[in-house]
Amino acid sequence: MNVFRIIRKADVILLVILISSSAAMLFFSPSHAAGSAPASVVNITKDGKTYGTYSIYDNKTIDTGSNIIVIENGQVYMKSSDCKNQICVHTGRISRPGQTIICMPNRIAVSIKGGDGSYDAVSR
Amino acid sequence: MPLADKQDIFKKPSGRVAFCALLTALSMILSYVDSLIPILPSIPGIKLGLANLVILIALYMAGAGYALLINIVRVLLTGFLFTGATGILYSMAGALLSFLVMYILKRTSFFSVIGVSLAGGAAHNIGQLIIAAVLISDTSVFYYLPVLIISGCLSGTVTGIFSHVLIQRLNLL
Repeated sequence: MNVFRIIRKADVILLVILISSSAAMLFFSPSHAAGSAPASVVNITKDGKTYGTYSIYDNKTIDTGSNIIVIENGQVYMKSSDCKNQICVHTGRISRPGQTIICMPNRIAVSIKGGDGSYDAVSR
Repeated sequence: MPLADKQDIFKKPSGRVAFCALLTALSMILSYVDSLIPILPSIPGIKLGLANLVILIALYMAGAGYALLINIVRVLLTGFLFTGATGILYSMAGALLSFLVMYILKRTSFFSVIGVSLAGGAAHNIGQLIIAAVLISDTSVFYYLPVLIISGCLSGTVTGIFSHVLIQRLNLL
């Protein structure tokens, strides 16, 4: 097929470098390493500032005004959002450290931090 | 039309306007079609990047100036129509970074249109991630970086193959 005949050596090298470096990042990323460690803390930021920090084991519903975030049985999900694209709602449930739900239009990020013992208190 | 006539399009202002308008309209409708095709709904930001097809064709057939202009107008118009101010920031970052990378790679002439396109796809996703990290002031979004680079490469390869076929056919007209 003539489409494959135009592929140059540099194309293949570029593709291999990009894919393998991302695969390496995926494999060695701290979130992957911590993936097996138990999750403990749910951190919510709004407009770049910490909105609240919650334990993932306490079932809770947090209403930020624009978004409703639910912590339930060790999982977190965005129940609703008033934004247009609803990407955050479609992200689904997260439960492992390093996972994040992001609502770009409302500038809200919900991330799970690993249970490394650095949090000795849960602040509200 | 043969190659000589194709160059004539760009000699007259009316030809240039018609060319840019046609490609801008095409890229806008492809942006919309793109948003209708969810590839992996669980991971945000993974798209086919069909609009890049038009930008690549403009880059190869008309030159960098046309491609950049069409790209910026497309982002502004689709932004005002569908996504709003945050959406414009977000897609502008992706569009400009991907354009810059594609332009540089094309200038080196080591790469075919497929290589240029796949690098553009990856750069688009990196640009969006950078603006997301800035807007949210949280670097945890870089957790998605490897996934987005891989998806950008794959979708970029697909659009690169499409644009190669299209550029060949359009040159034959």
